[in-house]
Amino acid sequence: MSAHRTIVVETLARVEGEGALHVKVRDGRVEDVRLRIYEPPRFFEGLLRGRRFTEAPDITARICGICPVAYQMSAVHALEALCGVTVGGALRELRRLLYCGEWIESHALHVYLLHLPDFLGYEDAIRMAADHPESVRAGLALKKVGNEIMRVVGGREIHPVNVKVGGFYRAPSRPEIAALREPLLRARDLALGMTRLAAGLEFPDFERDWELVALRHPGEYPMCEGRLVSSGGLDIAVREYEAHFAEEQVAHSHALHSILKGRGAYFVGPLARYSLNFDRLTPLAQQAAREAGLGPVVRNPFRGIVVRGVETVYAVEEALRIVESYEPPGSPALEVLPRAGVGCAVTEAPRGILYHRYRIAADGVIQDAKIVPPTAQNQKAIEDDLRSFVATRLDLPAKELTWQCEQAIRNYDPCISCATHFLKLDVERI
Amino acid sequence: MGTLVALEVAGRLGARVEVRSVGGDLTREIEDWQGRPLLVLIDAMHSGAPPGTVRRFDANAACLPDLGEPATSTHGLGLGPVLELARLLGYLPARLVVVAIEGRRFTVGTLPSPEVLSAVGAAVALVESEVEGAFIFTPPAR
Repeated sequence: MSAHRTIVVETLARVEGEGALHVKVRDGRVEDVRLRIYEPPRFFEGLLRGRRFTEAPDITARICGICPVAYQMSAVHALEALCGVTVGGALRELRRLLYCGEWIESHALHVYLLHLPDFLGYEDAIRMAADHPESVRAGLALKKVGNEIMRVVGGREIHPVNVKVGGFYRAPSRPEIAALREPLLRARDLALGMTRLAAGLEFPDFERDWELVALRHPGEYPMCEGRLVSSGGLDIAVREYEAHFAEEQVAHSHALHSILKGRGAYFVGPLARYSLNFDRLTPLAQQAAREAGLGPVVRNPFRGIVVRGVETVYAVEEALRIVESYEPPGSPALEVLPRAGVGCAVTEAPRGILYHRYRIAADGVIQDAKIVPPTAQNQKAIEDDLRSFVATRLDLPAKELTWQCEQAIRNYDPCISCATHFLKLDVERI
Repeated sequence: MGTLVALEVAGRLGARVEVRSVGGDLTREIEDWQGRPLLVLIDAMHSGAPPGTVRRFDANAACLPDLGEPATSTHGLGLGPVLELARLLGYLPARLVVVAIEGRRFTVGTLPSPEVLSAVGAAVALVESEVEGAFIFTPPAR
């Protein structure tokens, strides 16, 4: 086989947004890997300037149809931090329940409809459904429970409309929340089944030494609060984010690349969150992880599909806990009065940490906003991983190599719409 | 567009039909389709026909014409792939009809074009004829 060849895949499916992967191979060695994100910039930070601070949750929710809650949660926590308000009690529980709904929906979608077809050798979930209808039915049923939580707490499944700075526009009644219990009990079995199914797949031996970054909370698996920690010893308050992380513009991507200053690429998402917070999972989720063959730290991105199963078990259990103890808040929201200043927050979107920073004037008008989504933070690590992955597979036929690269990229569940707010594969051998 | 037609149908047929306006991911709906005697899906289409053209598809009989391409988005399957998924999973109702109006403006936030607005009446009449042609229809208890 010639050492000089070009392999091109026009479109990588089952990732969100428009992008491409370009791999250049010279004399049998990988010379360059570029994750090209060509989806146009979406200018959300610019759209926020001049708007009332109270509009931020609804505007930023529009960045993504899969993780709108993440955008809403990072927005409200940043603005509440700025205004000196802390939301606790039942309102905090409702926010956590809403986030559980998004994790369940997003993880079920990823595992069953986006990534499982790769492992089972199908072009997509529809073609897979012909041979594995029960798996797809289970995935849709699990996803539906997540959607239902989002409808009940967030007002609707896509781009929820019930979240506001200080709490919610309307607090669900006790019967509305109680009605989620039975579906969640079924979802717990479905999530355990999803984890067992994922654990039975075949995974290539591909361990990575990324610096893992996630939130860590003193008492719970992280969603909206905690300190930013890493496997490399980072332990900072979220307000120190920009002192330790930077964004870089690269010619081949409309999304900025993030780095840890002085250290380079890092990795966020379910593997990072799990590996830095295994001890915060519920006993059942820990047991599911052990039975799936996972240790407390996972560094093989292909096993991300199993970790998503474990996190779904956790999210279902956490949702059940909240549902079973729910007492409606006295008021659906705390009053939040604007004041001039800067506020920031990090929350754990399904794909990893999501940073928001706002500067508002005394009248509550947003002067400046900065949003750093998880896919943008992972771009550099994905490129590094693909470089190593391709280097050991150069003897594969072009079609097989392309297939494996696509599968590898979907390990990261990239959301290009968020990052530019993704994917064509192009392997060039010269 | 679909919502405009559906609201008009709801106003005319009242409790005889259950009308839902669904945005985003349609996969969450398909489990509820099984066992229903008739489901009419109303949507915009982009087939190259003149804007405002109204078409009827018998989705029980055949796949929608836009099938054939692999699913390329994570955020929502198109109507054709969703119907195929429902067919494979056994979720199709006894009768499934798609009523579609050819659109002209597909930009988010814009109003429907005059051609589409003028076609709403014809689409509503088509939906009504489907319902009238069906046997006595009782919405399931929810």
